[in-house]
Amino acid sequence: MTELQISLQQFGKIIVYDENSASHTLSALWQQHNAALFFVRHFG
Amino acid sequence: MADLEQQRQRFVEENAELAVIGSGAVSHLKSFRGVTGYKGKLFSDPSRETFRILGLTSGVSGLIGRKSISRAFSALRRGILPGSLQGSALQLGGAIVVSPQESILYSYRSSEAGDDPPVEEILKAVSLSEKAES
Repeated sequence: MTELQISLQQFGKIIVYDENSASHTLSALWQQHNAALFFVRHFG
Repeated sequence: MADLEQQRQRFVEENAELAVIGSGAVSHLKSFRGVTGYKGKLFSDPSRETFRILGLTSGVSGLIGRKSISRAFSALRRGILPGSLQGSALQLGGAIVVSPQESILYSYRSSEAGDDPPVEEILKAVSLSEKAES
């Protein structure tokens, strides 16, 4: 585990895109349940 | 991360959201699904703002560590050849678990290429929090 001190409010405002190019606010992922977000180096 | 789809079901059982976020172009997402068989939430952050805030950036040193070399040889032994890179070559991965109460339950920064976030630890963080709330 890594110590992490960030502003979740700022982080949650970031827009990510799905494969249909639809935009999603990151914070929507943890509105209902705990959310585990995996950040991968690359898609290849 | 090759068994991502297998792991996804475990997160569903824990009543947690699982999302995979990469830094490549949106056009690469479909091929990622094809290669991994992953059917869950999948996004791209082409701006890499999420990676920057989480400190998941690297220089070349993070790409040539012991784990990355070991993984590369292991993949080659299994007949898996490297494909074209779809994203930033200098990017490292990681993971974060966030609760609806806006608290960070867990975070992990990969120290080098091939240092994948520990799924068991992440499931434990998700599970303990769910049990504490119920």
